[in-house]
Amino acid sequence: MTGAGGGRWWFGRLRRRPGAVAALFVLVALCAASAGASLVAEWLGTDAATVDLFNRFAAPSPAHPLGTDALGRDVLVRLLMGGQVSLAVGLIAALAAAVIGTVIGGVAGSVGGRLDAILMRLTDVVIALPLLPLLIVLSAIDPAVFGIESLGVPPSVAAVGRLVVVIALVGWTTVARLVRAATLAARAQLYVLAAEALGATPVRIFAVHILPNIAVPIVVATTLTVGNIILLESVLSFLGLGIRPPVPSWGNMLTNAQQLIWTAPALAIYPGFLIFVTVIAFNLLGDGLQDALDPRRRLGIKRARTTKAAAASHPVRGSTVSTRDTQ
Amino acid sequence: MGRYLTLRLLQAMIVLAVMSGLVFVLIGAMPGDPVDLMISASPELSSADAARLRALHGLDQPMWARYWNWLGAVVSGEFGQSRLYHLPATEILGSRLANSLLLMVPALVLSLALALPLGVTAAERPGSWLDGAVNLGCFACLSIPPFWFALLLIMLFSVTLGWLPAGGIAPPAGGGIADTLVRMVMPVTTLVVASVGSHTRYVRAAVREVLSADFIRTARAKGASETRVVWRHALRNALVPVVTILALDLGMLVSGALVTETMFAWPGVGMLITQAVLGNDFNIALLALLVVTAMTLAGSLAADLAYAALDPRIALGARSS
Repeated sequence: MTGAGGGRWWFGRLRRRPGAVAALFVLVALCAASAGASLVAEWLGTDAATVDLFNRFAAPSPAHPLGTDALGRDVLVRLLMGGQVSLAVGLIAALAAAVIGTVIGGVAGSVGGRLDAILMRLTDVVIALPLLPLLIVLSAIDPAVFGIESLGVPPSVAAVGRLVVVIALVGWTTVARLVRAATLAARAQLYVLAAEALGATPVRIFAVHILPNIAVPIVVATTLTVGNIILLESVLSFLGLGIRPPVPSWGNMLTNAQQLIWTAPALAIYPGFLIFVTVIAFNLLGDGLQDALDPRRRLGIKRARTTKAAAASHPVRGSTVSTRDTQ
Repeated sequence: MGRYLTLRLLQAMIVLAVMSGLVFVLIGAMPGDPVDLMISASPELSSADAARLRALHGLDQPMWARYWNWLGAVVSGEFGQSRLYHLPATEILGSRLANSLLLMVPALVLSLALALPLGVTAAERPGSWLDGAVNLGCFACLSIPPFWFALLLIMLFSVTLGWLPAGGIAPPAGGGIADTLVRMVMPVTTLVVASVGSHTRYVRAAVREVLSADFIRTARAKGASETRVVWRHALRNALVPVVTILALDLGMLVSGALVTETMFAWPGVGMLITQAVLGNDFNIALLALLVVTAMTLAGSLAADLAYAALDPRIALGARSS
């Protein structure tokens, strides 16, 4: 029920949370810098793949502001290109998971009965799966075995697409539960009964009467998920199973860092620090949005968050991909 | 209750059966079957030899037939040999399980020992600077990539200061308990950092929830001191959801700490799974994944049972969402 005035209202609330505002600025800056990666590369006269074996582990210089790596490639350009990949995986996978979750939760809540029971059992099972081991197997398989050939897309796009599919396949559960609960609650409301009496189809009721009312919690859950997906992507890429070289990602830039900590410790610091900053920014933004958009606070009712709100804000239950899986 | 338990166990069995088929197909779809690996190890094998080997090991049969054979062997307790270790898969998993628990149990205890006081103190003073600091600290712990944190620890304590060995469970020559304890410091620290953030946030949310209940107002009205209200009345009730979370973590305890173990070369289940998948150790990967799934399912069942046991208002098996 956030109309135009509502939009201004929640931004006003968000502004009063310095952590969330700082996080938003950091994220905008990171996105802008990553988007400008090719400009920076052009300006420096290099790119993420140019190897210069006579110039390995070079110290920072005007030509290479952060120096070069083990193959003489420019570290700054690779970090920015890696940012493109990491941010793209996080955002697209979170969005895809949110869409899958909305559809499954919407169908379960609208249709009810046996289908609802089956879908919710499926959700329980997916939640109970050991996520990281399963993702490792899913990332290691050869899609050609199932007759899925590469569609002539560049390897970086194919790698991102594969990760997005793999993560979205297991990441939709929180949104599905959220949407189902909200749909069930809304179906008992008079305005929905009225719409039903007027002959509106279930799809129309869901899209027009229910979805706008639950957009806010979906946005919050999705924001909190983005950070965790970026973390998950970095773990998979670090293990050599997510984004594979030569396409740079923050995770795979650290793959050989253990061998480099003697020669070039800085190479082990930068990518990890960027992952950390990005993930904490998404988490703080999600937390801030949650507080700013909580209607109980809006009405000035002073009471503790209910279990549902606490669960939604909680990192283990509240985001679709939990951090306990990345240990 | 009995009916509920039977239904849940039945459901878990079905999930396990489906998972075993799924994992079997997925692992079969990893590039390179065992015969490919044999050929790459000994190039003198001809393609006729390869075909003969495939027939010998049943790899020329379709996937469903291979799964059926494997299932038959499993029912008679035969999980096959490890390709990398040339030992029965069950034997290897057993010793790795013990190593994982050696890290996970102390990490869990330490994490809770930190999370309980931190979470309760933050919940007592919502909106205070202390609450804000705890919240920020939690997010920092949740957001730091575990492998990078492990890397920082190694850089500081092994490379720069030289205080701690960088990895392994014991020195190559074999060592005593003291050796192992020293080597546990960094992996356990990494695991505590990875879990203390979510544990603290859970405790805080649970205590906040309870503090708004009517019986807390009653306790205050009857003149109970604030300390007594928080630590006796509130915390005891807040522990119900916290215990549930711990039961859910039971499965994680067994799957070990995949990343942490890999970083510190700790021979646990997590490292075993990574190596098995990367090294095409078919039987080990299957067995380990199934055991981990079974334990995770057991954990989620234990969580529901614990919830019902601790909170008499919850009736199991009742038709509810």
